[in-house]
Formats: sequence, structure tokens, C-alpha cells
Amino acid sequence: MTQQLQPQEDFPKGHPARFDYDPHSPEAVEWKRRNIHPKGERDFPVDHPKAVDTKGNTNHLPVRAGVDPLNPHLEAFTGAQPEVAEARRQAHALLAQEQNETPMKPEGFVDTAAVAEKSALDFLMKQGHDEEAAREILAREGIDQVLAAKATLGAEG
Amino acid sequence: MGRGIEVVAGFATNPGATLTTLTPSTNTSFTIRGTDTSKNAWLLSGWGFNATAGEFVVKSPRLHDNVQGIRNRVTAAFVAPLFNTPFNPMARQKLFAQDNLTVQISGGGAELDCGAILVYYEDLAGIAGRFIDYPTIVKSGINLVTAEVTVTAVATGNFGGAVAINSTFDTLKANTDYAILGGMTDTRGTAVGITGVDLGNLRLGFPAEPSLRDTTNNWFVGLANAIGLPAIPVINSTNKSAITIDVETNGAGGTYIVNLTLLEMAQGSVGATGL
Repeated sequence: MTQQLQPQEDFPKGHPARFDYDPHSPEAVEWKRRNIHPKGERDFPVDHPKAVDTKGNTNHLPVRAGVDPLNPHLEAFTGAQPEVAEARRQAHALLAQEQNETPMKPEGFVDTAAVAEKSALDFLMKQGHDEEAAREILAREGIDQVLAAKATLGAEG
Repeated sequence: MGRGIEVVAGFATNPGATLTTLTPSTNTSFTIRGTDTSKNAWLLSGWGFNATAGEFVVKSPRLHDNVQGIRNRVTAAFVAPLFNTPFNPMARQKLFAQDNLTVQISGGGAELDCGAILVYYEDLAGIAGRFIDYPTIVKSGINLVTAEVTVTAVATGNFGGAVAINSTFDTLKANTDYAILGGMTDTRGTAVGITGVDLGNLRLGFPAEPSLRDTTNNWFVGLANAIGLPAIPVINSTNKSAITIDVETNGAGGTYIVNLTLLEMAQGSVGATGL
């Protein structure tokens, strides 16, 4: 069986030292593009994905915290579409209007008793009592009993 | 001491609102290594990489609870430590040999969402990673140098694109120890992994977050200081062709320029098994 020998070329096609070198041939133009850098040493080789002259490189895209560089129109940190993000903002604004500020004592401390009382009243009203009845139950049973019942039922709020 | 640090990363396909158990990257596992429960292992940190915001959960009956455990919000497109940030004094979460951690993520309904945890082994049989502490860096560090590599990640959610540390530039001095202080990436992904014989052949790593370059660039120094244990890996340039860098990321893949910050160490300052 004869051995198949791969012919070895002295220079690749397009190389200036090759016997058939034609400066205008496509191979020569390509060789020049890849190997001649008149402005000096390159940071990345020609056609490297991060080279600034590679088509489709993303070097110009800023990398901001929470932003997908390829989808900068999405909301930062949630990835939500703009219309979804806007709808969420509106819903949150409505919720914010319904919220009460944290009750504070004059000394600058949070009035935890008021917070607990509101939590107990909210729980009783969620059980179907009106505010007057809820206050009456709260006065009769005491806040500890009501909050214990709330915890037992695993009620939210 | 058979020290080792391992980053284990995984992915969930289209988890949506469902807390979905991560599929660990090929041939890795969220089960803690070792069989000797008297040897300490620590959960150093954990983070997620979501295109859509979600939740990242690490739990086990042998940790605090197996219901919600360590549960944190993952904001979209931001790969930051979700607990035990290395640049704060760090609490130690003990792990147990052979404990199968449940690591879950939620997120978008049409994407790969990824997460990673970082585990420290104080003495793992058969492992002999070389790790040093911060005082050794100060005492025996000579020259800073960076190793830049180009990693083309895969889009399957597994670690991929591994290249040798000298694949782009081969400038490390022969037979010299280098401490890996940390690294930087220019593209967002789940984790940059570094593997080598000097590291006990475990893959250690840091979050692939390009907007936290000051954090990741001193990642291992921060870990060492935060946990109070030798956690700065040391490699020897003799092994450079077998020290590989790879990346785990989501279904987008990507090309990552990774810069590792190395510190040339004085000859003989680091023993064969570190500190």
C-alpha cells in the first residue's frame, strides 16, 4: 500500500513570498488583512469576537448593573418588558396610596402597639366583622387572643 | 491539610414561577463531598444569573430548615453574591459530608436560569489544593501580573469553553508560584471556573459579573479575610498548560474575556500543599 503524502507548501496562498504571489488576488488581500497591521500590534487577532473591527462585535454596548446588554429596553433588575414594567409601576402606585405610614411615638420609636392593634383589627374585619364589631371583640378578648387566633389560622398581614 | 474550594453551578430550563431544582453542570453535584463528617466544610457564598428576576434557594434538612432555607431574590441580569459577601466579615455556614443540598431557582418562562454555590473544604481526603492567607500575600508577594484568556461559553447551561491559562499569552515565569487574587470578566455569566492540579482538581471560581469588577478582582483575598482561612489559591507555572479557565452561563452563550489577577510569589514561600 502506497503511503499518501500530504504536499507541504512553503508559504500559504496570498503570502508575499509565495511563487504565485499576486497582490490583487483574493488570497493576497485576505492575507494582508489578517497579517499586516500598519498601526502596530493589535489587541486581539483579526476576526476575534472582541476585536473592534469584527463585524457584529458588542464592544460598544455598555454593561450596566442589572441590564441585559443585548436587551437594554428591558427594565433593569427585573427583565420585564416596558409595558409590563409600566403596568407594575401603576399598580404599585395604587397600592402605595392605600398604605398607611408607620405609626410613630413622639420619642421617635415605632408605635408597635398601634401596629399590632391595626393588624388585629384588619384580621377581624377579614373574618367578616365590621369595624365597630371588630373593635368590640378586640376590647373584649384582648389583643393577645386575637393575634394568637390570627397566627393559628396563618392569616396574612 | 487537603484544602479545596469548589464552585458548583447549575441551570433550570424555563422555571417560570416554579422553584425548580438546578441541574448541576455536567459531572458536578450539589452533594457535599467527603465521607468524614468530622472534617469541616463551609458554604462560602451563592449567587444566581437570571434574565428575568426570580428566587434562589439553598436548603437541606441539615441546614436551618428544608422549607425555605437560604432564600433570596435574584434581580435580573446582575450576578452578585446573595449571601456571605466576601467583603464583609463572613458568617460560617457549616456543611456536612454527603449532604445533598437542594438548590433551586425560579425566573423566566422561556430561558435558562442559573445559579452557583461556593463550597470550602478544610480537609478533603485525596484533595491537596494549595491555598494561602492574606498575611502570606503581604509578606511574600512580588509582582502583579494578569493572565488574559478568551473563553467561548456553551449555551447549554453547563460549564464550557475551557482554555489553558496560557492559551492567549504565555508569559508566566518558569517554575514559579502565582497566587490567584481574583479575576474579571467583560461579559455577564454565572461563574468563571478555574481548575488545576494545584487546586486539587476542583473547580473554584467567582461570579461572572462585569459590573462588580472591584469585587471579583480580589475575590479570593476577600474570601480569605472574610472566613479567616487560607482561601487564596496558588498555582505553579510549571502546570500552566493544565490550568484551565471555563465559564458557565445561560442559553445566550457568549465570548468572555477573562482577566485573572495573579501575584508572583517569592521562591519557596508557599509549600507543596499551601498553608
